[in-house]
Amino acid sequence: MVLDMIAALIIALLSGMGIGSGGLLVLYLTAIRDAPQLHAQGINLLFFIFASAASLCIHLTKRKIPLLTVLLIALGGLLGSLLGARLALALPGELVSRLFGAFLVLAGVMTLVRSRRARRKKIHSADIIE
Amino acid sequence: MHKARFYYRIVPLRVSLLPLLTGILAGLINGLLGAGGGVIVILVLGALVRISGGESVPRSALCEGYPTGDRPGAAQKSDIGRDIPAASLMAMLPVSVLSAAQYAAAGRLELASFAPLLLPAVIGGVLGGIALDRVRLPLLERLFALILVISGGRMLLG
Repeated sequence: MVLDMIAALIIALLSGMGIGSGGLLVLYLTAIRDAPQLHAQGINLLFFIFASAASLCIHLTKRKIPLLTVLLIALGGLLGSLLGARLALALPGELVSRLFGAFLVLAGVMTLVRSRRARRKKIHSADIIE
Repeated sequence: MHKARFYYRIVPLRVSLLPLLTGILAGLINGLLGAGGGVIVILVLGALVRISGGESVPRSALCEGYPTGDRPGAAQKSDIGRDIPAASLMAMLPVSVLSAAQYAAAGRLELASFAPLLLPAVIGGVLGGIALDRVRLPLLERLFALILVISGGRMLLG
């Protein structure tokens, strides 16, 4: 119970920063709590709703958010969700989950590589300036 | 900002198609896997900003509201690396509500096991909102990538 709360707090912090939506809570619930996949997904959705709403109270005062773009993405998202949730409830999503996992790993590695390259370039140009 | 608005009026469909498609894909993932839609949004918006000229001068119409560099007062420092995750959160919030509602309608939402997580979610969310404002951008980027690799790896291996 205490472990749950601590894990949830850390995951919510990452969620609030906008970078925790890779399904960390799903991971925790299925791997450590042995929850069934669909059960964990539902809880994660609820969790994200509260964590993101809370963090948006801060973000809206500090961040510049392109509202029209967000609106369009959300509109598309609602359409996609209608299909996605129906699929999730109808069939076992193991293949999709694995494919998406592969995509996440790829995206993560590419982000790391790009980040490193950008940093190296910055250091390099700083050398030249000096 | 004026430029972007003008752009929307002239070619609304072409400009709005990419966010719409991004949203559909993100919503599909969100409903299907209960997570991960926001990643799609962050990756697409990030790629667009890079294509349109990097952090300082995002010319993409998707970044409406950003200084374009050719107006007085436009030189203020852009914080787009933090704005993108925030935008992603905002876009995915209504989508998650709809996904959760569908899970609930099918009787697959266990409110009782969520109840103890409610408080940590709200407190953590607020702390995350504050943290996003303070964390160094390279660290944010590396954290994001690390989380992708960890959750992706687990999903990949089943």
